[in-house]
Amino acid sequence: MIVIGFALGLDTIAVVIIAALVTALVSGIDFVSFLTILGKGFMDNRMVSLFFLTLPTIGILERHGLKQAAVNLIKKMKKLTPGRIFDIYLAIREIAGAFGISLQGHVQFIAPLINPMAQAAGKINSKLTALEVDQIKGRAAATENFGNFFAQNLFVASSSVLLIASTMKSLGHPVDPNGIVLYTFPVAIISYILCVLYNHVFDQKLLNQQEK
Amino acid sequence: MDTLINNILLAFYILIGLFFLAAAIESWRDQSNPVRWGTGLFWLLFAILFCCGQWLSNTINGAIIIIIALLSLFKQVRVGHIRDLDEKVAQQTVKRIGNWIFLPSIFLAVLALLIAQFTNLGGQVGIGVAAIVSLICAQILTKANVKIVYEDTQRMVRSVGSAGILPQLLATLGVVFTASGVGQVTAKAISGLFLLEIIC
Repeated sequence: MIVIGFALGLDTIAVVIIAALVTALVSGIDFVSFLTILGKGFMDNRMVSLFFLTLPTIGILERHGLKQAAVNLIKKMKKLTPGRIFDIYLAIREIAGAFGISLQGHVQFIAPLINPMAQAAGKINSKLTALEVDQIKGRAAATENFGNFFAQNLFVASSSVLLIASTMKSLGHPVDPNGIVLYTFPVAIISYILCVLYNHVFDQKLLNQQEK
Repeated sequence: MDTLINNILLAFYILIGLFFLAAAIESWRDQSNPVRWGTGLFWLLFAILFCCGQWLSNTINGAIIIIIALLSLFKQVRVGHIRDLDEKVAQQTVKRIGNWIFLPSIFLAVLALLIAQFTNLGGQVGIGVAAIVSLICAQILTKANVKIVYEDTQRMVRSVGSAGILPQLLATLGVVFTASGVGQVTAKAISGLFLLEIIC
């Protein structure tokens, strides 16, 4: 249903709501009950949209030269590239994670800080195309996901470790939370090395594109 | 504690509703947008959901979402014209305050973290409180007046546009899927898909 909607070139919001409507009607929910479920579902999920609260700050900073300041700062550190900024952020992210500090930082770190810095580093030598701007933005958001995914089990009292331990126990394979943390270390280290390589390849690609 | 958290969150939602109201007003005033009435209505309906939805019946809230979907289906929603930023203002401010311009961003990140980590208020309240404190900090630093805050709020909300509200709608879709008996896993997978690529 969703795929058909997008294939027809319909607007995303329309596709989502139509998908909800069709699913509900097919499974025998009447229209009024559907409206109630839809309204309740929307109200119960308002916290997903809390990030709107950060937009005025980001807007004001942008107007007053956040990006220009990032460019100036990055220019002083000549060897910084978008990839290296991601490396540094990922390292901080994973180390903080090991101490139980979950940065969860798309809203707090990536949008206001890491993305503008990486964008600035990307255009020290030449201008970025719209595609490159989007690629850097995507990589910035992805870096947060890599850190979250591969390093969240480094802390023994994190909810994910406790979830794994309790689920495995209920399935009849008791595991020790400390053991989960221990086995997460190689995963975090290997994933960090892979991310550094990945970022390096990305920097090279950006550089090659800019030389052309 | 839960009541307190819920009341704080409710205040935040009403505030977000006011942001949407600003976006609605400025969308209406945007003469260059051929579908400015539709776009304005689109934001107004979200403003109503966030400001008053708490006290409306969920059936009415659902009906409002259907109207929003119809506006979107008939392509009555467009970003329109967003005024360009003045490079000079940016250069002058950077010259004056230099790297202090990063302070609100750092405030936002660190404060959200501290509240989530060291209080019982939770991560959501943390993001909201940090957002407000960093806004005040940004205002003092840049000497931005209320008019600029309003201008930048509506500018950011409108440029993030419908993509910004999509994650919440996808989560809602997940709720409908669950109520209809479609596997919970599918619902979660879909609602997580777009979540945060949008805000950067």
